[in-house]
Amino acid sequence: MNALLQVDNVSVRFGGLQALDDVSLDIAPGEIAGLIGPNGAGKTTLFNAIGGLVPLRSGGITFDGVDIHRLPAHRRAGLGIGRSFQNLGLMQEQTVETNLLAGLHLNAGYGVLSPLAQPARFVAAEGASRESVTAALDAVGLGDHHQRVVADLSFGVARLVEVAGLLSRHPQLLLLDEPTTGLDAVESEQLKAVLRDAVASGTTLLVVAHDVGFIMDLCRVVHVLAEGRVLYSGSPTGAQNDHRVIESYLGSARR
Amino acid sequence: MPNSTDTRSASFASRLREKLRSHRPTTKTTLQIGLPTVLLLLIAPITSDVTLFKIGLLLLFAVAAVGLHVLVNWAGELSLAHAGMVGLPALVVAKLSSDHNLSPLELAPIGILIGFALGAVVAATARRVSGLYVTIVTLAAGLAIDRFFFTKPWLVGTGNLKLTAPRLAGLEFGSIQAIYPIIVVVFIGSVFATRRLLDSKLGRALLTVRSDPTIAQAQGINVPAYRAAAYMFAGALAGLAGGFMPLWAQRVTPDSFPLELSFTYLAVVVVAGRGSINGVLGAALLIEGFRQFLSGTSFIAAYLGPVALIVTLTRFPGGLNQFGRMIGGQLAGVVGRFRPGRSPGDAEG
Ligand SMILES: Nc1ncnc2c1ncn2[C@@H]1O[C@H](COP(=O)(O)OP(=O)(O)O)[C@@H](O)[C@H]1O
Ligand SMILES: [Mg+2]
Repeated sequence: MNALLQVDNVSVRFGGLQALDDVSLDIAPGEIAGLIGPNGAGKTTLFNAIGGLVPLRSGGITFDGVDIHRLPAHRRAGLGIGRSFQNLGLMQEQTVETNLLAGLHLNAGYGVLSPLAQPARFVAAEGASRESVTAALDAVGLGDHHQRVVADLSFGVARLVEVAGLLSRHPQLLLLDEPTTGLDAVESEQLKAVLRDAVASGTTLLVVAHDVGFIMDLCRVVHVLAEGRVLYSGSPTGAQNDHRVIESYLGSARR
Repeated sequence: MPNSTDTRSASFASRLREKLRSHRPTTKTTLQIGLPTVLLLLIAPITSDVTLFKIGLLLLFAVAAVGLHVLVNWAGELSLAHAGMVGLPALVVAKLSSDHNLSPLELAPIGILIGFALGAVVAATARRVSGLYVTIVTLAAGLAIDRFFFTKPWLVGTGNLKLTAPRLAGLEFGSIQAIYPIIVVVFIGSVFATRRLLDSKLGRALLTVRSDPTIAQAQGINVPAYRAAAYMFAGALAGLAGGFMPLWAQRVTPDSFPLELSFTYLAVVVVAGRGSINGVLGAALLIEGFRQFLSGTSFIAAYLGPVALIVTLTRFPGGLNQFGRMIGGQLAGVVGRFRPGRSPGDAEG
């Protein structure tokens, strides 16, 4: 099968620091792939490179058959790439509802001046957005959180809100940057269930997590990154037995 | 985590709210437009021409301030060129009217186009810089308009311009009482249109851009385009206010748009704070209203803007809108648990 996302020999430099060094990996459609590696390995940088938030020094990125590595970030989002942020991609001072509606920017199919006359198309689109928000929050058991201000939520709840918002956009590919950090065991299970549902309805996932159990449980493929290089790509059990992976990451994580 | 009963009752409440919302627009729209229009129109017969003149100036001031409010409090940008963006369209309309014997009323809409274009120019300059430099660049733009255009005889003429009597579609608007309803329509129309734009994906995109441009991009928002749109919108409303200035004032000179007027606009939107347009209307009334109506006590008038700005920034960074939300929250608490959905921006701290 053709890969949905194809990262080819990507290198990213920050001044003297080689954050990504000739990274190549493929994500198949419908896959739940894990991305693990020690802090500073370049996981977030890889997400930024895929999303268009940092320029590549060399290499290429193909998404759904389209060469995207020169497209601006908002265009890549428009192609169906969604992502969460390590420190929450939400507006802290706004309500949950406003955040989720804002996240549906691309799904709101009307022109920017259309709100002036509010034609039926606009009213329908806004109504549909509000319905998706309600459905998304209900799906994570936060149906009564519409008017809560994000800053007043616990980190775990805010994370669920963020993921719910991302899923309401039905991205083709969803990049999740350490979504389990700061979640308690119950929230973590809930997240896992929500992600499995998302994959069942057609979303492809690439998940960064330090919670090795979470990754082993959820993913059928893992990629291990260390010092900007891919150490290992393959099955989770294979990763656990790979001596380079144990040395650079799993070993230190177990310590 | 809420239990299932909670979830069900919550979704029932939100469905009810949705029902109410879908039936409300006509009533809501009528109230939003009708009530203030009637109130403003009722003022006319019971005031002197001098007072009415000041009220008209205040309404046009508020139109321009609403434009800056969107730029500053929604998009998170800044402009110290706002007076120039009101003044240049005003002077162009006055000049065209006087030179070509055209009605300033028919020419007024040209102001929007000029303001929009000025906004695009400032946006193009401001996008290359960030933070403090935006302030400096827009100040430079304001200075450039002031020093270049406001000193050119071909624009400002010599002495007072002689304006043609305002007319539209065969109607003559000879008196201030006859022109006043037009100014009211411009004001209500601007406020209503802005409300609608902000309560849509446009307003929410601006909020996201202000909050975090990186998140905005990842959500598919074209950040530079929305930033530019905010400048152009601010320019268009400034130009609209400026375009109607010759009609209302009958006489406009560069002295009507000093550089410090840009500062007054900024003070108004800072005092207003993030969120609703109500805050900016209140702040305009407070600062520019005082200046207009207490011109005898010029000491207060001169210092009110700066003092209000400093007090707001140091003591009440949320501005009038924050007060509004506090009072609104208390009221809602008294009225009961059920309340209709808040509009975006209302929830800011
Ligand atoms: N914008 C940036 N500018 C400079 N250095 C950066 C930037 N982003 C990341 N880095 C550096 O690149 C390396 C990889 O970081 P990151 O991708 O965040 O790692 P991870 O997400 O795997 O913990 C780190 O050394 C980090 O300090
Ligand atoms: Mg990271």
